[in-house]
Amino acid sequence: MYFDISYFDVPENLARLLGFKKIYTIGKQLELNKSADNIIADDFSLQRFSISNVVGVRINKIDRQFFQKIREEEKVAIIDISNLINASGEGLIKEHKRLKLLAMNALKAKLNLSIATFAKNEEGLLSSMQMIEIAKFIGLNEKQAKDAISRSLI
Amino acid sequence: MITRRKSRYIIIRSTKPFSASMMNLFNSKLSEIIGSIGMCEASPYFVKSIDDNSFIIRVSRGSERRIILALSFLKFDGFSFCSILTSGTIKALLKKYNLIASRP
Repeated sequence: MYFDISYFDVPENLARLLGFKKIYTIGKQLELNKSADNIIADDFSLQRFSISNVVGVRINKIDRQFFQKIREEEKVAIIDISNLINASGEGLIKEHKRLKLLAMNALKAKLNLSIATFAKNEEGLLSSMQMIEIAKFIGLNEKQAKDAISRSLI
Repeated sequence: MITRRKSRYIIIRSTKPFSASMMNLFNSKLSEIIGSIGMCEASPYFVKSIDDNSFIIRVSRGSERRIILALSFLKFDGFSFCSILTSGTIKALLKKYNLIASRP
């Protein structure tokens, strides 16, 4: 039962082929940094929303106090891997280092960690197998990697 | 007695139609990600097409995870690749694939 988040509507049969139960669409089932029922907020814009409406927080930087707040509210901390999979060369090394540090600190803070592609088109999509390998690439173990793509947001 | 190399088969889905003739380009781009030594260990080989966008490759057992990870970064000429399934035999692979593809 794996889940992902994208900016476009992924057909159900393609989602199933890629090994996902559901790929949530931003603007349909979820909203990013916009007032709605199910909001994903970036860490820098979380104060704009009622925390009860937020289903997940897209984390971009390491902030222990902020991580503690997410843990207390039992919200899902989402790591966006789109920059990582679109990078190459030195950019890939830098992005890998950044995400690895972010993931390690999020795990240390005992957050409910999740990873998502936030794909803008079909080229940005990954299969569940690839997501698990990417999660392991940024420092998660097998169980943590599977848990990270198994968190249902709604 | 001859010892055979143990293989794993992977079904890959491409965003654009992919044929066997593009395997050289595929391998050279893959080599940029995993390196020549990684390519020697994995020795990816095009087995067959399933449809226009899906095909099966054979890789050495033990290197399939590295190939699956590398596929996440492999993008060229509008192509990107997703690993759909992996198995030790083509028969089992196609059986699983048909099961997923035929599910309503």
